[in-house]
Amino acid sequence: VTLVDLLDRLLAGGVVVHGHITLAAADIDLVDLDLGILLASHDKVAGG
Amino acid sequence: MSVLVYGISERGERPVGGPGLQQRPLRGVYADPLAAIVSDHDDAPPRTVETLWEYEQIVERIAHLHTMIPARFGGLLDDDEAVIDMLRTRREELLAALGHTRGAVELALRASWQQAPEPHSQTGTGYMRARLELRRQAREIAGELVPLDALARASRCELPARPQQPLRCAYLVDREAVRDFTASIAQLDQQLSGVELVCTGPWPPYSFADGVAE
Repeated sequence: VTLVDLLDRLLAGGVVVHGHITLAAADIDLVDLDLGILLASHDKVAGG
Repeated sequence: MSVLVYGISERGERPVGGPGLQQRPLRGVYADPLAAIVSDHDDAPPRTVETLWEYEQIVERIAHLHTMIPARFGGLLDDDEAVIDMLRTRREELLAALGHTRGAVELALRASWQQAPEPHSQTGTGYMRARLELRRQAREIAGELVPLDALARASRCELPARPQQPLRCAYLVDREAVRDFTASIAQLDQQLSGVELVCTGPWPPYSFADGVAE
């Protein structure tokens, strides 16, 4: 299972129950943005 | 204290339980016939890769026991009243989604170029022409995947803006048809030249949570 598929589903799919989630309108670019942040975070964890 | 929503189900005979994120116990919040599966948290869960994987594993565990449409990660509401209000307000939409996805799982399919193209050019016009050509090729690949639609309950495909990845699709497939479906993908992967098909899943039906049949 790849990370991009996970992000596509958890951050751009699913029922939106929270009014402040903004990913629904323009999911692709924002998911990409999240991917960068998350990968950076993950690398930091892995390296630290 | 806020309430994190993992998904929407119908009130059933099986009790909701077990650990959620950060080992907070899962419980149900009910507005008949719907149930939201939740856990209580002081703060929003951190948006880290580890937390996302943990969330997905919890959702899969719940989906194994209950018919459920998953919630987007981070669905935090103020209290049970807000959850009940959401269930009541969106009752028809949520019931439609549950009916549409019952007994099915989601399979993700991504196509990637075997040799990653980079539409570089000396001029802006040349760059745009190269991008358009990649787009045309991506549409051709999408056409090759049409036979998969007949094996799925619903499908959604999009051509991402990224030139490296021409196509990504989600298929809602009956549980008992997953093996045939993945065999068909493997066959298509053999037939198509220049692209590689990667299928992941089965996932809970994240991409079909709006209940709209396609």
